[in-house]
Amino acid sequence: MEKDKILSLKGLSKHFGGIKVIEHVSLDVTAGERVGLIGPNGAGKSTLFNMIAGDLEPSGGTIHYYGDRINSMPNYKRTQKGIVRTFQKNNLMMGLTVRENILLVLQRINQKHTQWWKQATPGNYQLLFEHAGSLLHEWGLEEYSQTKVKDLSYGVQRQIEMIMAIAGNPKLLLLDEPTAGMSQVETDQIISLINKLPVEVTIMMIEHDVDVLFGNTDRVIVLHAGTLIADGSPEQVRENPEVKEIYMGKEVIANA
Amino acid sequence: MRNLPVKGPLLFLIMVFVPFFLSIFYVNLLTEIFILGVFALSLNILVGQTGMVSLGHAAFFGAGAYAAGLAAIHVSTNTFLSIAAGLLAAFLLAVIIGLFSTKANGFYFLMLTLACSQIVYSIIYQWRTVTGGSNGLTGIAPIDLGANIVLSNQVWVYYFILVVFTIVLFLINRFLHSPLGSVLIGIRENEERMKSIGYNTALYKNISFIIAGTLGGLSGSLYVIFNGFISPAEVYWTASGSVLIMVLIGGAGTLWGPVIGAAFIVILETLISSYMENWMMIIGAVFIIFVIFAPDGMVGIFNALKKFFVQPKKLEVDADEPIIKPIKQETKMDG
Ligand SMILES: Nc1ncnc2c1ncn2[C@@H]1O[C@H](COP(=O)(O)OP(=O)(O)O)[C@@H](O)[C@H]1O
Ligand SMILES: [Mg+2]
Repeated sequence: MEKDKILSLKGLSKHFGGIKVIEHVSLDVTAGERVGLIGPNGAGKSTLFNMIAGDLEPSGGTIHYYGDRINSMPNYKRTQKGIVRTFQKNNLMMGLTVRENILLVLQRINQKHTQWWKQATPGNYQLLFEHAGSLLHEWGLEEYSQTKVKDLSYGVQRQIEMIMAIAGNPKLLLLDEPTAGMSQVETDQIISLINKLPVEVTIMMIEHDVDVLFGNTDRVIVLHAGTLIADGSPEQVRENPEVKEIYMGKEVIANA
Repeated sequence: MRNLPVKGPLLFLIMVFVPFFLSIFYVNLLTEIFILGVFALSLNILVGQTGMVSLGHAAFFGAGAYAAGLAAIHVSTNTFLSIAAGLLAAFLLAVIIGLFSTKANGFYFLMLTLACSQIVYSIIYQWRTVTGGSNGLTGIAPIDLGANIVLSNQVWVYYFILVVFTIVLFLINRFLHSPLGSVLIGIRENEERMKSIGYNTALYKNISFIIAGTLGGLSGSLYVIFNGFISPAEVYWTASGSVLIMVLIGGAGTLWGPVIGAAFIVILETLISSYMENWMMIIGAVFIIFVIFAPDGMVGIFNALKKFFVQPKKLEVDADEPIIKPIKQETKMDG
């Protein structure tokens, strides 16, 4: 079943100077899986995502995507091939409107991004604008369509991050704490929208709210000090003594 | 600003009738504004749209001007041949300089473009047999449009350059907010994020550099058609500084800003330089005043005034605070 394996990490490591932030992490992800990634603050979760997305080069080990080694593939090419990510800290084109941000994704997906001879108006690019409108409608954010991103609250910006990722036709979606800094209502909305994504989309999600994560994933991976210490169903991981130790012991649960 | 198609034709019509009312002095002044307007419009693609501040844009003006002049001297006085030679020379130069300068960002990009343009300057200055060195390129015959229509009359030159300027403005108006244009704007806003959503930003920065350089070459060849002469002074780094000031004073990233900036500097220069040696000093002072008090340039002032006077009712909503107040929220975690 090689071709079902969308992502395969073998002995992946990342060292910053002498500090081993990720140490020999190996794991396989099957297409369509919903994988949760937990671990204390500083465990290396975001660093792992950075390597999968191509924002950081691994110090050792390999990354295979659909069987191809992608260690040295630049991040934009990985995105074009379906590895789409969100960031832990909002990272958007802040001076542009919400719609302009989304259109930047949609125009590339629809191969319109090299057209220079007509203005990007609803009349000239009806399908793109309708698509952007329907995404905003689905998330209940139409009212902000023409608002500059920098004028929006952190929580709304967070949702724009999600919309842009989903608009990018992901095959492997990497969500880095999608609900960080959001209200309970916003969190519930994001989780329900994530659950509505097509079943073939593979999702890896870092989440500090353990309850949210255990209730919405098929599989949970635990990182601790750069190493993978547990990998299994939410039930298995919940009962894992080492995980219990970390989460109940002296260590602080991320964002507890 | 965006409804050029409505106001544009009217403005064009006014410009068509200008030579009937104004003396040749003013006609020439307008011609110069159009030429430098094209120059500033070209730099705006790089500076205002893509966010890459270059201090070496005169290299492309020079490449275009010298190539057009040399074509007119050695090959034929046909205008279109001259312009084609100017475009080609500037295009090739932009490909070369762009290849390595666009790898740098911010201040380093500025320094690299400055260094490259000074190399171009010294080549022009020293290659006497071809360029005439410090004397400049002389003996360029009046240009013709083919079929024996010689542009010897300054009014005809005015019309020719008005047409070219209008075409450039029309195309840039479309390009600025086109899908490709918005990729460049996205890079200005957040280059790393643009990579993350799948754009090979290095490629698009090169494209921006090449478009800007080639159009800069067009303005250089228009200058030679108008002036019949080009000297190394137009390629010196102060010329690059001057066009950068036009873009910034007028309003970087807007359609009309660079044109307004070009008009302002050309008029100021004409007024001051007749009774003052150091007119560049005055322009420098004006520039500093703009940077401090009107960072969005003249178009920014104009928009603010329009907001204040034209839509007084809306002002209550639009003033200072955005409708949606940003909620300052601490992110708990490091990114
Ligand atoms: N670019 C970097 N240079 C040096 N150290 C880094 C860098 N990025 C992350 N780190 C360190 O690596 C560790 C793991 O960080 P991170 O992957 O962000 O953790 P997590 O997302 O699990 O909270 C932290 O101690 C952090 O300080
Ligand atoms: Mg993190």
